[in-house]
Amino acid sequence: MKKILYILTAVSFALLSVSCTQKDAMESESIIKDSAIEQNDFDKWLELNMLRPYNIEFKYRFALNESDRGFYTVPASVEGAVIYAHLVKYLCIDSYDEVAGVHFTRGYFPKMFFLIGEWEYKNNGQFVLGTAEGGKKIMLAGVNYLPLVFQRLSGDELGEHLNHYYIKTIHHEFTHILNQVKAYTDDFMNVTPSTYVSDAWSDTDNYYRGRGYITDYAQSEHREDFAELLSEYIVHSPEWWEAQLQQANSETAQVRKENPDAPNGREVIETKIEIVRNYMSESWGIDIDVLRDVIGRRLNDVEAGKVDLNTVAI
Amino acid sequence: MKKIIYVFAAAALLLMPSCQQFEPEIFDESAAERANSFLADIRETLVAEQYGWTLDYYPKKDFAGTTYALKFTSQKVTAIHESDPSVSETSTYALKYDNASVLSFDTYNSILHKYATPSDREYQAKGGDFEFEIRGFNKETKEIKLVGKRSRNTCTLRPLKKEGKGYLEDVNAFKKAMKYPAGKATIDGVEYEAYLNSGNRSMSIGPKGASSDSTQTVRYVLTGNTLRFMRPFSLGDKEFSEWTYDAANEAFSEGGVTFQKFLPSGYITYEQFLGNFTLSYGSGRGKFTVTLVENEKDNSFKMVGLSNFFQPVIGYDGGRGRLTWEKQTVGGSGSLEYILAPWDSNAGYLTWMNGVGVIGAAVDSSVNDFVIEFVDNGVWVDYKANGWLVWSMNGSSSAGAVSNWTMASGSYQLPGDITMTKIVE
Repeated sequence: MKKILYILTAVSFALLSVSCTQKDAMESESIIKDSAIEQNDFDKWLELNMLRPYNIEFKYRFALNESDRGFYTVPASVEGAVIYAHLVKYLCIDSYDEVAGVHFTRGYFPKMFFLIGEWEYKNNGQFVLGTAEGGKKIMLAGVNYLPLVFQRLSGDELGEHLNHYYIKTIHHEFTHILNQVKAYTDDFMNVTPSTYVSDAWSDTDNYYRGRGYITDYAQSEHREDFAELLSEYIVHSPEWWEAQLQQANSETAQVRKENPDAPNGREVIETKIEIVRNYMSESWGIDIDVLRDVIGRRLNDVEAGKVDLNTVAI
Repeated sequence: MKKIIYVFAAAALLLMPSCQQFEPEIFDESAAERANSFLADIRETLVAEQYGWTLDYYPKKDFAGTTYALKFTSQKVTAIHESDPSVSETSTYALKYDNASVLSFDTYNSILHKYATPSDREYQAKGGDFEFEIRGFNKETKEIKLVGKRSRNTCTLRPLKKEGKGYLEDVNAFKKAMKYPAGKATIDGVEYEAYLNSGNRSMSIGPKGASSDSTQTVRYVLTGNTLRFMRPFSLGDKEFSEWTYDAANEAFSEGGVTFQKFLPSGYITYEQFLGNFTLSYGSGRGKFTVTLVENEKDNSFKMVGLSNFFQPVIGYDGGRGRLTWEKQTVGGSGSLEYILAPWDSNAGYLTWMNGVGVIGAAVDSSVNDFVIEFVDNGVWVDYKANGWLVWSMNGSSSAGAVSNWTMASGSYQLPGDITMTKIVE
C-alpha cells in the first residue's frame, strides 16, 4: 500500500508538472504586426543582396527598441539608407568575400545593421558614429547626410569623408566583433599601458601620434586602440600610413618635452600594427595588406562614380 | 508516515484541476486579433479622410504648440507644417504594437522630424516625438489622441475640412492678425488674468495678482480663429478647451466667458528688446555693453557681448513683455558640462537646478531708454538668484568654477544685482 501511495503521489505531481507546461514555445517576434506594410523595391533589394545570401538584416526603418534611448535621434531617410546599403555591400561585404571568402563573411560579419539619420550627440559636443553590440549588431549613424556628401564632394575628398564618417566605422565595429570572437593577446595592451586616458581623449593635445596612437580616440583604451589601428590601416593608402608614421616620429620631440623617457611614437605604432597584423593573419587568415588593397581599389571605383549607389531595381 | 503520504496524495489530486485551461472567453477575438483589428481600423480611418488631418503637435522644449497637416495613403504620409505651408514632404509610417498601439513616422521627413532632429548645439533636439502611443479613438468625431513616447505630451489628430495647405494658411493669417498679449475675465466674482506667450504658444492664467503657485500654464495651438489647448483646464467651475477670437472686440471667449484684451504695465515688445544695452552688475560696480539679437523670433534672444566663450539664450515672455534668463548649458569639455549657474551673490550660494533664474521687466516702458531690472523668478526656494557663475558639472555632480571662461566682468563671476539700460542709437 505504501508503495502504491508513493506511486500515486509521484504520478499526481508528475501529472501536475506536465499539465502545467502545455504552453507554446515563446515566439521571438510579436504576433501583433503591421501586416499592412508592403515590401518596396529597396526591401526586395535588401532581401536579395543581404538577407538571403548572408542572413544580414538591414533595418532602415526606425525601431525604438533597437535604438539607444540615451540619445535623441531621428530615423534614417530612405535615400540615405539606399546609399549606405550599397556602400556596406560594395566596400565591406564584397571586400571580405574577396579576401577571406564568403564563408568568413557569412560566419562573422554582423547579422544586423540598424540605421539612424543623425549622429548620436553627447552633451559635450562629441558625437557617436556607430556602435557594435554583442558581436551581432552594428548601429550606423549620420545616414541622412550621405546624399549631400555625394552631391558636394568628389574624388579623394569624397573617399576621405566616406572613410572618416561611415566606412571606417563599419570596419572599426567589425574589429570589435572579431575581437569578441577571438581575443588578441595581452602583449597589445602592454605596449602603451599607462597612457590610455578614457573619456579625456578629446581633451588631450594634438600629439597623440607622438605618443603612439593613430587617432586621438585610440587613446581612450586598448580595445579602441586596436580597432582604430586596423580600421585606419585598411581604409587608407600605404602613402597615407607612412605620412602618419612620419608625423608620429616628428611629434615625439614634443611629447618628450613633458616626458623625456617617452618612446618614439613611430616605433610604438609600428609595434602595435605588427601585433594587429599577426592577429588577423593567425586568427582569421587575413593579410591586412591584401585587404587594404582590395578596399582601396573598391573605394576608387566609388570615387570615380563607377558604382551605382542609388538604384535598387532588381 | 502513511498519514503524511495520504495528505500529499490528496493535495496533489486537489491541485490538478487548477491547471485546466477552460477559462471562459470574454471577447470573441484574442487580444492579438483585437490589437491587429484596432490598428487596421486606424489605418483605414487615416487613409479614408479626403483632406487628411491636422496634428496638434507639442514638442517638449522651447516651442509648446504647433500644427501639421498630414495626408495618409496605405504606406506613406505627406506632411506640411505651418512654418511654410507651400512645402510638403512624403515618407513612410508604421502602425504597430509595442506595449501599446503605436503610430511611428519611421523614415526621415525633414518637415515631420524637425523638432526631433538633434545637432551639436541641441543634442536633445527640441524634444519632439515621432513615435506616438495611440491613446484614444473617437469613432464619432474621428479624433485620435496620441501621446509622444519620449515627451509624454498629448498630441491630437483631427480630420480636416479643407486642404491642409489652405488650413495652415488660415492659421498663419490668424497668427499675423491676432495681437493679444493678455486678457481678463471675471468668473464667479473672481477676476482672472491670462498672459499669452505667443513665442512659445503657452499661456499662464490665474486670479489677478496671484503668485506663480496659483497660476496654471497651459499650452495651445492656433487654428484659423481659435486657441486650442493641449488639454482642457478649469477656472472655478468652468472648463475650457478652445477659445474663439472675436477680432472686432479683441476678445477670446468660450462657454459664455469672455477674456477682454489688455496691455500689461511695463510691457516691452520683442522688437523693442532687439539692440544694444548697458549691462550693469554688482549693484553698479561695473558695466559693459551687450546686444540682444534674434534667436527664435518672438520667443528668445541671444545675448552677445557677455563673454567671448558663449552667448546665453535669453527668453522672451510675450504675455508680459519681459525677459526670462534661466540656468543653461553653455559648453563643455570631455565629460564636463559647462553651465551658466544662477548665483545668490549676497548669500554666496549657487544652484544647478533647471528653471532657476531671473525675470527682467521694464521699470517704465514708456521711455525709449527703458531700464530692465532682473529679479529672482521664484523657482529657487532657499535663495534668490541675482547673478551668474560659469560652472562645470560632471553628470549631476558639481565640478567647480570654469575660471578661464571669463565674462565681460573679467572673471567667471557676474555678481548681482543686474540691470540693462537700452541704448538709444
